[in-house]
Amino acid sequence: MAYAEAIFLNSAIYIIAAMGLAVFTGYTGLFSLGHAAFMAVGAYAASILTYFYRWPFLPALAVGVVLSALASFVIGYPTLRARLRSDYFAIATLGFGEAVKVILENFDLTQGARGLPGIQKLTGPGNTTLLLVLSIWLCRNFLRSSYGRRVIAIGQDHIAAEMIGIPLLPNQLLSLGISAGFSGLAGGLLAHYTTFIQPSIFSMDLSSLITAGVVCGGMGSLTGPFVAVTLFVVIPELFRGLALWRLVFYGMLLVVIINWRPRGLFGYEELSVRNLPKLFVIMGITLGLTMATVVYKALVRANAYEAAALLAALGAMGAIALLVSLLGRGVSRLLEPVVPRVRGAWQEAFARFVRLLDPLLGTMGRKRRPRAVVPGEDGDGAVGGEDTLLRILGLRKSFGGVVAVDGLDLEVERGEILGLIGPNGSGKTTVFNLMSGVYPVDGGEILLAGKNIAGLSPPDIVTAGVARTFQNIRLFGSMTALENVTTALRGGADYSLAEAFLRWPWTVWKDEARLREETLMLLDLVGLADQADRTAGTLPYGLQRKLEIARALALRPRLLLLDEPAAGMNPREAEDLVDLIRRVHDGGRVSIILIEHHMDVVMSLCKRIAVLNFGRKIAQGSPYEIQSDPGVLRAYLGEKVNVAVR
Amino acid sequence: MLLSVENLNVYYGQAIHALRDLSFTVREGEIVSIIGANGAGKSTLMWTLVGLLKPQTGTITMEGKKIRPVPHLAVAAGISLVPERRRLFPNLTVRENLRLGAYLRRDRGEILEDEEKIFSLFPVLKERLGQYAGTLSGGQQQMVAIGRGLMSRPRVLLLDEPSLGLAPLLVEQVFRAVRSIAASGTTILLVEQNALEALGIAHRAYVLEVGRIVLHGPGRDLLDDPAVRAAYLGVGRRAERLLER
Repeated sequence: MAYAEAIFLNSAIYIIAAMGLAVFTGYTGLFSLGHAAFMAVGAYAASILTYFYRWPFLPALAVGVVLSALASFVIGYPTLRARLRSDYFAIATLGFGEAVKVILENFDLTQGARGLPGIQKLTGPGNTTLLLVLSIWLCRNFLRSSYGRRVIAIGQDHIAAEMIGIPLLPNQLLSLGISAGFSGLAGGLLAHYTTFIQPSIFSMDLSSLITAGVVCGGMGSLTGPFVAVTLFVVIPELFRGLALWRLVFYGMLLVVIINWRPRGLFGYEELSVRNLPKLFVIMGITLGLTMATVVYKALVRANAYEAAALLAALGAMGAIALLVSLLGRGVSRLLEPVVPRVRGAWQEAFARFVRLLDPLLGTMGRKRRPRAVVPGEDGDGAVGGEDTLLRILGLRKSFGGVVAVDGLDLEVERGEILGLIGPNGSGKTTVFNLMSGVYPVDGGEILLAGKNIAGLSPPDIVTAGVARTFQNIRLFGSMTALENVTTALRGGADYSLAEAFLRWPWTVWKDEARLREETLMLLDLVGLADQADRTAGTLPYGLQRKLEIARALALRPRLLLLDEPAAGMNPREAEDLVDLIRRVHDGGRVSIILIEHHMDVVMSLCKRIAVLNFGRKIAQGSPYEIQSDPGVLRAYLGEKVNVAVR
Repeated sequence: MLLSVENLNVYYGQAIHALRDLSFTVREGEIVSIIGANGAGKSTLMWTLVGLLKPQTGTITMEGKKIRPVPHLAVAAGISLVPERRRLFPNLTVRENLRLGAYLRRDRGEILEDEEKIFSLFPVLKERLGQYAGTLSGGQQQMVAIGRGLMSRPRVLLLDEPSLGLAPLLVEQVFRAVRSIAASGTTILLVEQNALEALGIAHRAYVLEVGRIVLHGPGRDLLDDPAVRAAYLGVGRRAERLLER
């Protein structure tokens, strides 16, 4: 019994650490090789409090969690601010882990390398189960909240995330802090379970075990790390009976897992009825291994040949794995109709319960902050009292020796759709990148309603009212269409981080319902309402373009930059797109700059067109003027094209 | 019959049936175009032809010989794909990109000859040989992609949206190049959103809808077909003018 308890406690502790890390590494894609250091901080903090100061267990653990989270800023702030990329970040955390170890070894309070012996054994199955369940619940709530969505978005495409106004640093620090907090919790539990800690326990091996759990389980899943870590802890135990064969089997199993599931056991998925069979297959293999060891031991004891024993063991394993897998399929089929009904009933019951408490708790929410002003709707005509929304003056940008934008002047009237055309490589997209803050500006001004936005950070530019789409489509591929747009909604959610963690019905539910409604309206506008729950990455190309437009509109821009929205569309689809852009334009509530090579689209939408070549404006005027400009014909249109103006 | 495809069925996962019982043929020396809406399965078809996707059922044969769905075998059998959005090796030079197109060939002298042919097709590439492909403009990148596709000396060249994202002037150039590639004896299978150009250039064309071929015939006939015009050419006056030409 004590043996089973040991396995359970070991798994639970590492699962807490791995799921915490999943919130960071799994979703942001930044690898950490130093999370053992945060476990150390949590372990030492909690142990010192219970050991020297006789604190009760839970408050001591809580202090450990908080200190770990704070410690994460020490490494997180400088590295993430410097935008260290994945591999460099991993090295930095590796160094951090070693540094923490050295500090602990030379610190009096922690008793140096001798460590802390004789910590009380306070970690038991009861409180560990409770904390494990709590951890799962908190992680899941966080990831489903608007805060979590932002973190996930950054991991999917950090440029796109910035372009919809999500600042990288605070959100990355938040998820790092959360992951460190859970590591601290795991560390505290570990210390009060082994009753002895010393710095060498919190080595890189421990860090890599947790990180391996996240990777093998699946980046972008909580279920995955849960299952993977359980396997890591349980399987070596099972192999104990196999003596020398143990390491061979363990290695083979890892190879099989990585071959079978190159993106980890669960990839981007969480546990559901649909992938229940997968879990059963894993359980079947584990059970099979257990049986294999039993059979092997029994046969060896009965003086059978080693090879025969091994074969029998393998046979037993295969048979059981197969049986359990089949069972899983059956169970999944059986549960398929039941689960949605049970879930529906439960949700209804819980909703009724929430409503019951409404008079008591409904008013307890904080005072609502006023909703952000929507630029598209406010009367910003007052600024300067002029009709020019955007004025670009002498804009310059060069890459190395190549001048991409060379003293460009450009104006956009309020409510206008301006066409921006020019040969490939003439600097059109670079202008968009400068306007949206992807690149710093070398010189010149970009005045939006009189205010210079050149040099502002991308999120600030979004706040000022500029939104864009991308030539090469940058969606958050593994999020649903709905989530892609919701993440971008201006103003975002109205609830606090604490409420997000608790999924506080009186604020989170209401707000999420409102966000969903606003999102569906936008999806409906671009004709994607029926695709709301489809994963964005699986949508056909043309629909992805429309989804990108919906996401940009969610930011309520006053100036929308569309970069080749009709690329990859046939003329018929391009016509539909023209109608869509007209709807979006909405009689001039949103001004638009349109980069496009489909001349039909440009000519039917724009009353004014600017033509770039070699980063300079070579012509500007009505569609008719542009089509009869010899310079434009030579550089861009070619002789045979002339397009009717509709 | 140079290339023939019979009863091709391709699925994504279990839910999405991307190609449904697709059959068609390409004769030696032809330009065959495939047009269709977004999501109709055009790129899926191209990927399947070169073995990047495995069909659940169906066969692909080159001159009567069945091709196993493995990319390098397809290239060896004389099928070469110029993929959508070009997919160059951005951190290799133009020359390296071209040479990699000839990866399976051992006839060094003739490789150099073919390179010269590509330079006469796209003279600008000769000036850019040492430049990294990722730093070229979109039009030049498309030229490299077509050049790379030709370097394996294919019997049939598959072009997936060669005009995607190109300025009108360059679209013209690309289609002119396609014509002259065909004239020099390489068979062409072309997938395009630019249905006007694609039908205008094709000897024969197929219309793909939701993974099925719904129509096929000579390119000019399809251009005149009212159903095709409504679905893919739009009602723009430009189409009218093109027809009058």
